[in-house]
Amino acid sequence: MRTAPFIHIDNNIAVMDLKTIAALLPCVVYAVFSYGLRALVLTVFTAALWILTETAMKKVTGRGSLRDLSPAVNGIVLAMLLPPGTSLYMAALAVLFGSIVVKGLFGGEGAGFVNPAAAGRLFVEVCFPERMSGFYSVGVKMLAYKSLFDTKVPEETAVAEYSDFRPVELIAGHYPAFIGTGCLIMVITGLVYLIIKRSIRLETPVAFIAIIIIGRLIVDVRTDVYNTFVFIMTSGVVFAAVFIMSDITTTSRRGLNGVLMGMIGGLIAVALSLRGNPAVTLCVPPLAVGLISGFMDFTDSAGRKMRQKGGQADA
Amino acid sequence: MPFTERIHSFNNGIVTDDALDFSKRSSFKKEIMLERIYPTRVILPMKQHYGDEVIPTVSIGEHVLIGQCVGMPAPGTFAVPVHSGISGDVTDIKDITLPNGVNCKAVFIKSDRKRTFHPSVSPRNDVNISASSVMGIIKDAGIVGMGGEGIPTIAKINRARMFHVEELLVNCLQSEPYADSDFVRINNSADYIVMGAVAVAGAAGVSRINFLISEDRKEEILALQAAMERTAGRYSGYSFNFKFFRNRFPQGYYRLVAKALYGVEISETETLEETCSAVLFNCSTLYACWEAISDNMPLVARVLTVTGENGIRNNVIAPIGTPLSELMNTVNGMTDTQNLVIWGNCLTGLEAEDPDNTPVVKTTSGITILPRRDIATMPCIHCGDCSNACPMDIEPGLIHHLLKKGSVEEADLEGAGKCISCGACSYICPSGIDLTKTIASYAASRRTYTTRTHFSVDKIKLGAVSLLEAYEEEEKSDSAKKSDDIVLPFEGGKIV
Repeated sequence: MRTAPFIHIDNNIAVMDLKTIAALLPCVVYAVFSYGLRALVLTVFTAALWILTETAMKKVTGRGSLRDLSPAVNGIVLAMLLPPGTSLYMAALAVLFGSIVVKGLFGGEGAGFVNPAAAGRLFVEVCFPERMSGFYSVGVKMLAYKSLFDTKVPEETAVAEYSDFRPVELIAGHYPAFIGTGCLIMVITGLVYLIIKRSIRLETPVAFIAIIIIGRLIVDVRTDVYNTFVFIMTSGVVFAAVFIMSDITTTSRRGLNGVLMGMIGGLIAVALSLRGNPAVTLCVPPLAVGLISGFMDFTDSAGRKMRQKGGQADA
Repeated sequence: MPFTERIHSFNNGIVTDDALDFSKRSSFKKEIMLERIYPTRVILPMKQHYGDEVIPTVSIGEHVLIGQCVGMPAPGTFAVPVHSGISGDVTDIKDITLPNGVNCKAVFIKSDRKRTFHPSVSPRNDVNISASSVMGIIKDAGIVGMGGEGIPTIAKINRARMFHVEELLVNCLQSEPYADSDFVRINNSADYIVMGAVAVAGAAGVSRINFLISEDRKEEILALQAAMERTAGRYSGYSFNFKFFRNRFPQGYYRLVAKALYGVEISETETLEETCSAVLFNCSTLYACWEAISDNMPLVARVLTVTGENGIRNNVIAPIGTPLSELMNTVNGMTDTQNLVIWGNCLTGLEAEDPDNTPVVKTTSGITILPRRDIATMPCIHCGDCSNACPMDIEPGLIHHLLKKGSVEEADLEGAGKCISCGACSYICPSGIDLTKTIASYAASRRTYTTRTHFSVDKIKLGAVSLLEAYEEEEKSDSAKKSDDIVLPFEGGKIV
């Protein structure tokens, strides 16, 4: 006999993943518009490889078949964080590290402790920094397929000084950046979609961005506060806030803890931004938050246990 | 509603989609959908309430009338009588098992299609009526908590008198998805509910009456307000007020009412009367009280919502004992035998495996018919949605994990025993994990057994004990006399 409840919310994991993919689509469109079909190939490749890897791992470990779309989400998020000149080899390495080492070996779906896409991206950045520097100018090399298979170090486009960026270009994403993080309008479109679909918790992303703005303002007030604006626009922190810091599996479960996690992530991002590596600035805060949130949930639970024990003693 | 009015609520809970809230449909649809059911037979279980089983007072072949008593409590037992809602012949008296696991005798009556009332059922002509008379009528009418708890109303009144409670709370907080039977009752019979509240308040020795209702129930608030204004002039000794609540499930459960209204956490062993000096009655219960007082009609029928996921629904007035299969016939498209028939609402109800022989009882506020469909289960992603939905502020995901691995003591420390089996965690879980089954079963076993070592998820019937609290009929003669001086004027069953 079945027991209650007999109805279930429509928003199951697969649907949530589907909504996240839909929210990521504007960023993918921006990537293709700015960096050509090469960006689409890179995105499809990372998503497909992630799905294949997880499917293979499930077969090998006897955990059944793939039942959600989280590998596709991870693959697309990873692709959006790659420089436009990234070769498929580097992308494959990032996928394999994220899916096998970070996600697979720690229990698979639902059991991750840090965001696997951010971990994969950071892995290739730390191990092969010279190969992750292919920042093309926007709008050129639309069909540069050959470079997808390049084993050479990609050419680097000189990134302009902060003072050279114009606000309209920044908002539209018309500057060299990671392939999917550059256009604020597209990221916000995805965010609005997730909000409408009630598929995002805002406490962590909002706290994350708020602390970064405050932190950067404190840093930039001595030079030029315009730099803060440029940093927020060009660094991809808004993308990271919406699509990585909001990862419900690896961020803290409780509202206040979520705010605290966002604040900690924001502080780490500000500190790392002073060293200048954008990939590290984007990927380290979510990883740190993932580790800390596990500890936070533990202390939260321990605190409640102590209160209950105290209550029982009083009774 | 004044802007300054405070909105009460517990934390968390769930707000289901508006699509599941049929009460938000147009009033036209509501009007045409309330219909009276005349079943061909009824099955009257002798235990429909919290307490002891009653004894059949009729025999096979005997002709019974509407309002006739067919089951009486044995002397010294904690029980209320059962009456027939149809006229006809008793065809059988045998043991049945209800979906909640209650096994008792049941009287089977076949309708004679004549709808003949028992001579005792006629408007009361007494001009004055005392508190003890009100209590006697309520007890004899077999009225129990119709919101689902099934506690005999007389027991609650006695308890209220014993603890000298100061407030009577009228529970108009129906919050289950698909269900709006209470709101239909309010819209159609607000006068009876208000008068029932006055009568019960008088019997309990209370002068402050607070109606608990969701802030967005504008239509029902207006109906009650108008009824209060009509009544207030005649009963200056009683004060009426609204207490507005946020619309969320499971608003209305007495422990959550205590939390929302008084900021008090009531444990499983405490009562609202003792801790908060208040007594809580469902609005349909108070309607039944006034019907018994003014029309001398025992509890023989109730409004219930017959509904399903396909959007078709009906609010019906059905005699107690109507088989579920006869109700299903009233709603098009729901008779498919492949469907899942739920005795109660879809979040806390129980599956009725044999709808032909499962009756509506006094506590059934609805039946739900849903297509049978398996919910795909996936590993927990630790999203915390269950914790955010839990009205008792426990972590269902963690507790489920602990119980599954056998760490019962740890689960207990995490507050597993506080579960009220509302089903919110399972409903909200994106992984489709049935958290409620595991945790509510444990909570029920914890209340039932003193030792926890033999806990087994599959051994406990959900719904039988989880939402019930022990009430004992403890009437002291001095407290019974203390407020026996109330006077409720009647004339021909109408308010004068």
